[in-house]
Amino acid sequence: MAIDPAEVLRIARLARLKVDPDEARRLAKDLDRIVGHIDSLRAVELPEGSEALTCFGRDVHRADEPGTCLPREDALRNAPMQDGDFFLVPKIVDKEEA
Amino acid sequence: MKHKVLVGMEVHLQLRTRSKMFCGCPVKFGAPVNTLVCPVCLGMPGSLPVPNREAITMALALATAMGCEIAGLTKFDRKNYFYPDLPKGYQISQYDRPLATGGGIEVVTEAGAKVVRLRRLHIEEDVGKNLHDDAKGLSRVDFNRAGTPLVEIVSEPDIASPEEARAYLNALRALVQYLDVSDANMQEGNLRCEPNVNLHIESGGTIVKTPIIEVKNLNSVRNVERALKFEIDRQLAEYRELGAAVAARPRATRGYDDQRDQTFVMREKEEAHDYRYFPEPDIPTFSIDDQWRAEASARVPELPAARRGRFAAEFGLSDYDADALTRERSTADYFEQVTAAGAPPKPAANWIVSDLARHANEAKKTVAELRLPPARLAALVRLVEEGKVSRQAAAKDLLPRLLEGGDDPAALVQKLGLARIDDLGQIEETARRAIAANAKAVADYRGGKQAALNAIKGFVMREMKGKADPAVVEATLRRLLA
Repeated sequence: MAIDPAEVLRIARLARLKVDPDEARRLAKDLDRIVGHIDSLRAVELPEGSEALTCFGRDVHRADEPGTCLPREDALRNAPMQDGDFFLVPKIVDKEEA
Repeated sequence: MKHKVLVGMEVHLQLRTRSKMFCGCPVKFGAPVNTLVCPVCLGMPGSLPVPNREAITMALALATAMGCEIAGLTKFDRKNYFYPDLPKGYQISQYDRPLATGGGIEVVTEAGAKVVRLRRLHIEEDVGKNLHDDAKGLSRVDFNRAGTPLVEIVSEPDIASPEEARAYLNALRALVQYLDVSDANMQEGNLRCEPNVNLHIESGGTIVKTPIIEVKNLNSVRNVERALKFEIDRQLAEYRELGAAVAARPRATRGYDDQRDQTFVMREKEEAHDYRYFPEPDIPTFSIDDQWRAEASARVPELPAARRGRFAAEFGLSDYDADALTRERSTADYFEQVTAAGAPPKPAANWIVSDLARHANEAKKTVAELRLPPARLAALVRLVEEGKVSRQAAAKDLLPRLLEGGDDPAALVQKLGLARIDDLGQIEETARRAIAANAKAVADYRGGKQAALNAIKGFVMREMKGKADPAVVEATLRRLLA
């Protein structure tokens, strides 16, 4: 797949990154090479019936046992803004839910 | 205007596990803010999510109950977007390998029974909660809910009316309560739904499709129904205004304002969302083997539809009573306990569906939560059936005492002087007084107004404190007035 400056700007917008047009042109060239390199993996032939959806292992899970939580002050410690109870963030206007 | 309504439903259901989906933080409602959190659900660097097996088993049981096809191999994916209630910058969800696909839910409306087909069922994690503080221009975030296991159930657009949407949600709620996998309470937010709705309007041999609208902010089944009604009317009006050009309007998300009973634009979707899904590299693939499937199947009890059919057949109940009794599993269990304690089924069903349900509604409880011992209700039903106390007196005076903890219905009937009056002489004497005191009603009745008899009958029942058999009173009055 080819990556052009417009695609770079689109991804930057999704990632909330500021990228100016010059950077976008440079990044497009670099990203295009990286993605092209990854694309070469498509040439690898997989044995019939093999299906690895993720890379490592299989069936890792845990029992439904409650464990310990962080004390609130520790949870909030690294927050750029907090009030002792909540994390504080700039007011959100448009609620986009998952 | 000839048109078809197409509604698809997306439901998020919180699973009732003890701990979160990918970490051991307890799942609890109402804990102090930001105390049910850990490095995993806060998305701290270096932390690793480990799936909760019980949550997957619950989702499998639900998928089995709905006749879905369960995947042999399934995996988790990252859904990337930015929002402050999502600490990692992505939600762990499932994309191209959902846990289950297909299946359906049977819904019953006045129009009859039909199956709403399902598209898919997958597991994901819940997000945190934002509280908006307008004054300070800030939002406060509580992550207690972040990471709670959710099941997302997506239907095909088979729902053809607001009434069917309501029936769909009620059926799904009953199902998950029977399976005991979720509280499924919309007010508390453990069942959330987002219907999407559009219309196919027939116009001069062609079909005009209105843009698909997704509706949010719905916190009750009633509001889902109201919002859809509004939205259907709004789309019809838009078509009347724009004609076929309506099809070119963008898809949009609209919020529902229940104060105004209308929907409003939240955002328009010019392009599809780009969530840049990719496989969650921290969680290995799952294989759902036969043993796991069997474990999930073993958790599927007799489901509401089957129980409804059995109640109708085994106890000779009407469809209405059978349906009302089986909507809540605990109510159906209670009914069976009451009949096992010796109450005849039909009257027992009637007492539960009408009288107990009313008391339960007033107390905002379920019938079972009224905690009236089944044997006590059975004793009351028998007293009424044996003619020892009238239905009215039992409902008005005896049942409330039992609900307050009164323990011997037969003794209470004596103590409260509720014994039914079968003395025909006394009934006739009271009836004569009633006729004398209600000249106007008597004249109306004799003039052919059958309903006027009710006023006279009411007088007799009041005079006799509800202790007479209303059928006997009515027969006596008709005889005297003939």
